[in-house]
Amino acid sequence: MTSSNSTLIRRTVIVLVLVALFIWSAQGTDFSLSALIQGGANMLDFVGRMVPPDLTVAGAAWKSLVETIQIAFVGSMVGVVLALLPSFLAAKNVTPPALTILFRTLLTFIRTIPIIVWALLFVAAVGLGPFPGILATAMYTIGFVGKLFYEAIEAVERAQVEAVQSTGASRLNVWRYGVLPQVAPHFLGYALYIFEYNVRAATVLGIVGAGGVGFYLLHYMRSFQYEMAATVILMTLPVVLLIDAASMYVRKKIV
Amino acid sequence: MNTTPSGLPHLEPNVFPFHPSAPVVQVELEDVFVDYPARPNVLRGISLAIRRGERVAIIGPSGSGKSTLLKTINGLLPIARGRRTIRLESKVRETYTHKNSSVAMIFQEFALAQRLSVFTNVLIGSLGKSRGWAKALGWFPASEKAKARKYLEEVGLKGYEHRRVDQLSSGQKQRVAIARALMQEREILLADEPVASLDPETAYSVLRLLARLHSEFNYTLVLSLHEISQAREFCDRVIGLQEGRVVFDGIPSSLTGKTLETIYSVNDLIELNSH
Repeated sequence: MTSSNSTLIRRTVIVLVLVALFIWSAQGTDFSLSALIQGGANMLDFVGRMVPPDLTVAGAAWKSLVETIQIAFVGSMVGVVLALLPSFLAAKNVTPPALTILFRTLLTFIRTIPIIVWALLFVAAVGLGPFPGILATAMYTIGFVGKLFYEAIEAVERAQVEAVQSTGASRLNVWRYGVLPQVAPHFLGYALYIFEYNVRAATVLGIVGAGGVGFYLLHYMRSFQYEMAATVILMTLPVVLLIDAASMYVRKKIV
Repeated sequence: MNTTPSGLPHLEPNVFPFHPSAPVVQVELEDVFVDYPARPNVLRGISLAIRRGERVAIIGPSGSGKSTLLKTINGLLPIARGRRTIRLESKVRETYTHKNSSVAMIFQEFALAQRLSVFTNVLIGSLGKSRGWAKALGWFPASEKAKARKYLEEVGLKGYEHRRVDQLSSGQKQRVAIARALMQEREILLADEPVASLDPETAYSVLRLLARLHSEFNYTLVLSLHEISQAREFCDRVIGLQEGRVVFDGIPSSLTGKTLETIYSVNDLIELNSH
């Protein structure tokens, strides 16, 4: 059999497996194009009820929007700081293998749990309000940036580390002057990225009672006050987009 | 059999026939083997002795073990077999690592912290002189700052203290790396291809600087070089490596075409001649 024939057979098998998986998943979830088309009229009706937006709730929406950003900011800061030590301990080039396995497993475990589930757990633990939202954001941040951080540490230029080691520097100073100057801009970039992500994620934390704009959104939707929900959505979108753009600009400048 | 001050047997006399009056063998490798995890026997039974104050060039084709040899002398790489001895004025180290060695090193491609200032990069050379948290926080004693300024002046970079390293030219970066090595104030200075990344004119100015500092501070200088002409001009001894073995050890004038053929393959020589 020629190599081109075997490549063709391999590609055909991959395509068939993907198609079979799609059909199996679509049947298991009642996926239906006709239902989507029929629902189009309902969607238009829903959007129609949002117009005109009720601006009487703009003050409350703005306050909760600010709270959302505060949750994301404090949660990101706490998470980034707490991720530093485990990420160093998870990096293979600066930590013995037994410890790296332990800390990689820990970071993977933290990352596997979605932010909304962390929020549910912390609402149960510390009650309703923005504080469980901050804790949930911080936990998710640890898992997410912890992985990015240790990958950045593992990508440092070995020669710079050796150059500091060869002066007889302590392990602390090898990290401080051999590793940190190389990874700091990446760390800062990742911290901004996770803040961006957390602002978006924090907008839905209120759904489970963990503070922020999500609480109002859920409340207005459940009570069929779509004009008020529209105000919340219209105020949230530009703020999130602005933070995204600002963060992207700063990241481009520093990395 | 003659013995060294530490009681070790001397190597064969013809291994180091230079500076016969020099009193101390500072670097002594005896039948040293070094392995990398994916590549065993990078160094295969290296034996050599370098006396205090010598200026030695290591030459050889790419992959012959030049960088590995320097890192082995420095203690950055563990040896699989054999013996490595470093003799200093006050002590002899037979089992040591980079943490307690008295060897300074200039690395290929400078190995500087690009985003830090020139001054901080030079101060990094003093990190092995004391322990504690202060230096990690950026607090260096005034005496060390004064020395850093002095060594920057020595390498011709007075006034560049607060520039970021990534704003410098290649030649200036190499001078910062030299100042950092001087800051260590060690008796032995190793330089791994210190001019490989530089244009010919800058390369010669850096080599002239190293030669002047060698005369001024009287350290032992061992440098790996790609250009044979540079080894001939700037060193008083040449060690040729091939596939991890010493295949030549002599004065530069004994580097004939025939001896070069024992060090380099025909293709290597064609490439060298094309430079």
